[in-house]
Amino acid sequence: MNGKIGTTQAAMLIVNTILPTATVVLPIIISTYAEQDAPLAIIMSTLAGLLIAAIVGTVIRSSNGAPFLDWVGEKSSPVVSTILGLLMLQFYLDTSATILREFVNFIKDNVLINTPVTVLVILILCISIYMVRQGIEAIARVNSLVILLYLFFAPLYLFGLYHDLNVHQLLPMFDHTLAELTLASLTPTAWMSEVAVMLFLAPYLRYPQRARIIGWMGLLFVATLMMLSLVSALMVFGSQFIKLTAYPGFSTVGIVRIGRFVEKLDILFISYWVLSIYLKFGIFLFVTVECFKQTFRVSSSRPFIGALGLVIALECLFSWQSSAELNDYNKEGRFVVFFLFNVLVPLGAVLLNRVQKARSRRKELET
Amino acid sequence: MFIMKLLLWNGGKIPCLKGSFFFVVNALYYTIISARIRNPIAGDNTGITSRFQQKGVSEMPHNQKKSTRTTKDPAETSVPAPLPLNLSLEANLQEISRRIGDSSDIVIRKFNSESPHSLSLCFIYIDGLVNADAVNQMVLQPIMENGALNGGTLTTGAAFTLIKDHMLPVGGVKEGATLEGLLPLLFEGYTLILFEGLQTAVAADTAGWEKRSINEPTSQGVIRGPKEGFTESLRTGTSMLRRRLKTTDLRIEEYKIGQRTGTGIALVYLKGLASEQVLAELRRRLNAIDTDAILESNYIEEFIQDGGLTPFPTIQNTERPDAMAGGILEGQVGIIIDGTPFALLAPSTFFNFFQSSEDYYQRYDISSFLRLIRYGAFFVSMLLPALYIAVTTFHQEMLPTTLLISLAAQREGVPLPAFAEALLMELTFDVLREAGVRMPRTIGPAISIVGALVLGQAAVQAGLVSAAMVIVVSFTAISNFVIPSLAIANSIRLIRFVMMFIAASLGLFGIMSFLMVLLIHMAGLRSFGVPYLSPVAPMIPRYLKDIFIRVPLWSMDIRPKTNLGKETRRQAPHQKPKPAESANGPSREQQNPQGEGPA
Repeated sequence: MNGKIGTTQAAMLIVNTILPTATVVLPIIISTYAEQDAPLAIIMSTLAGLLIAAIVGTVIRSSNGAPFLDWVGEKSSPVVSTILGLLMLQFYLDTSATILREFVNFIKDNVLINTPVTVLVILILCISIYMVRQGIEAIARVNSLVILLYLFFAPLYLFGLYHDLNVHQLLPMFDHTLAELTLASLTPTAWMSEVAVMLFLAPYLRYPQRARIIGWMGLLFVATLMMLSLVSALMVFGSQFIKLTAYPGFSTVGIVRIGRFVEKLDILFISYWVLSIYLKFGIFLFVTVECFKQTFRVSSSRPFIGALGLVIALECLFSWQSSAELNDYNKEGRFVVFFLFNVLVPLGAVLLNRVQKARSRRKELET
Repeated sequence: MFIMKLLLWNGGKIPCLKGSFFFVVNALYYTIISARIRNPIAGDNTGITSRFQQKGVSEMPHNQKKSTRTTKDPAETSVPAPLPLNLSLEANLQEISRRIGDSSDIVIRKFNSESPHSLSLCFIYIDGLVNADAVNQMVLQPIMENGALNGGTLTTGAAFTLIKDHMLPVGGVKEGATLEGLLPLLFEGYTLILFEGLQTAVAADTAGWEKRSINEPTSQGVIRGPKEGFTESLRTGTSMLRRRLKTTDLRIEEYKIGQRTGTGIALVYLKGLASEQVLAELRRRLNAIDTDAILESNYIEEFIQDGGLTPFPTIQNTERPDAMAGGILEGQVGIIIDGTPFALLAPSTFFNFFQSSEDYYQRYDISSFLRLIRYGAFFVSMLLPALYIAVTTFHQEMLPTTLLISLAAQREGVPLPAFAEALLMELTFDVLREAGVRMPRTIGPAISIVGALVLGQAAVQAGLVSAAMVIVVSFTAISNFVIPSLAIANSIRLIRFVMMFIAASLGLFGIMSFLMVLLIHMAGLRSFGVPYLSPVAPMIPRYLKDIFIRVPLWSMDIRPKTNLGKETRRQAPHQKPKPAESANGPSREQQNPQGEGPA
């Protein structure tokens, strides 16, 4: 059942669309370039993200929540929308496969070291398919509940780290050049650009006119939590140690302790992260299915969820076997692809809409 | 294989956009192939894209899908055509005997007047279903001792009118012209009066049978609050509600369901508070029940509840008339079933199952505390054994060192893995629990001693289980009883076993995965159109006053609306108790010159 989702629910969806993998992947990439100036990189990428959200929001406002590819087809031609749909489908299949791989890699590295990757992939995929079959309304509801748990985890995290926070680790500030900061903010910007999933969530928004607000709310929330995670990791370990750890955020969580009884809570935070990443993968699988549905004008997408999930699983298993290659892609390749599909495509749609309007006005004047 | 070949051909060469185009091709290929395989129309080999355009292929929720109903077996479910009464009394009696047999509890009493133009009548009733005094004094005696009837001065038609309108001092008098209309009345305790030469009969309500007296509810007891529970009598149940809801808005609709049991079912609601959509849906589902027997409320529950295969109850059951009255006042619809003290309340959300009527009979602070305890007990009951298994099997690093050493020392001599140990103990407890329900009360203490000593102390001493596991299982069992609703407590009992198995296989990751499945399932579940997790998901903050905690009654002005119902005012606002006006202080009128005080 796919009902409509409210503005706050949609904003929270954006949070979990970006945050779960961002907390795992980004700290090391940002710290490599910006070290203790990493918070500046987050601010820069957030500003870029807000701009992208404005573009995406403009598209949704113009289409008034119509299915994106249908709207593009109306404004240009069905051929253009089909070609664009195929390309975007390919993009979302790839993105979903990388998310799944990041998820599986993390579990394999930290929790279930001896469990075969295939088993994990099949399990995660089956659960995600079930999530998508339940519809975006159910996903949004669970997502809101999971976000609510921050009320428990954030204070626990801060109180648990209180004795280990050293503000001097953040100094000297502004020690890096603008070029280094820009390099550091490119990958986070790619993550922030995932706000573009709203293009395919638009038909399910109760108030599509508030799409910009939804994007901005979600991104600001993400930026706050990223900042909290990164700054605390920097204050605890310092910039040099972060570069050496695979998952700095979870290393920080590993030293959380309250008194002598509550300690070694990393598995608790990992468990919470597992809930978030399920939602992230579920959202992307939903968007992939939605893209497929709009591209091929399918009235019911339910039979195809499993098929698309299988394709994602196969790509995850056979194309991203190497973690190093995945890291390289995240570091260097992802920005280009994301910029193309998450920024240029909506920007193109905005321009197309403007041109169409201008042309129709000219025609009106001529007649 | 085709997909695999493409993948292998493509794999690992293009770092950025690797395999993307081919995946799209694969996706199309796979979907088209699968769609062709799944094509339900024999011989229809049209392309999938053309079939996409066909109308009528729309997504429907599971519970709304049209089912292909099988043809009924006429032998089992055939309903005889209505048979009008015969002019001959003897023929009618023969037909009744043929239909209901020569059962010993059927009483047939004939009456013939003394005159030659005799009036011939026959009284039929079922011994045990009628009040014998009522039959004798209000039906038999007035008719048999009446001079006009005895003297034969009246025609049969006039006698019929006289009896029906003037001679039966009982509340319910009906007339019927067919056996199909009269026999159900006979089974409800009516006395039938058949006339020679008339095709119409009179039925007088003389129902009266032995009933259990009103007792304290066995499964939902309270320390403070009303001590009476529903009984098996439908009419007693409706009367208990009438006594609590003295309003003209109370509506009671009755249904007869079950071809062989003809069970009476009453739909009770407050007009204006209950959602019309929910009512319409309930009526539709009740009318759609086509079965021969309804013996308990669970029969109805299983037929009408949403999400047929869900482990979670979407309809509450209660023995307490005050709980039902409370639910009806919140816009729920009550369903009372004849023959059982357990009535139903719908729609019900997940959080309804954690509310007890006693929450409103004691102070809000202790009620809130107890409610939080219940939610905690819910999670303990569902997760504790699974967490123990996961932590001791996969995540020992989570435990503080001293606790870890203590646990390791206890488990040293235990031959079973944690999962087998937990499973053994949980199953043993369930066996004990089931035995406790069935065994005679006099042997109860013996079983308790055996259970506690043999399974607790002896099993630990024998090294079969660790002491920690006994603590885990015991605490889990106790937590299960903290939950006020037996329906949801039973759901957790089953989920716990699945959770334990997953914890033993995949540790905390497995537990989280299964929790996600449960959450998504519950988020998609509805009870008669109302989201199961409302008002938490979707979140409506102003309706949270009675969910996790209970705020003071004077603060609950608004009656929460469901998605389908109406938001109505429960009471006048601003009723928070205030100290009496002091001599020097400003009066209420001075404080609030607009007169916006309490009504």
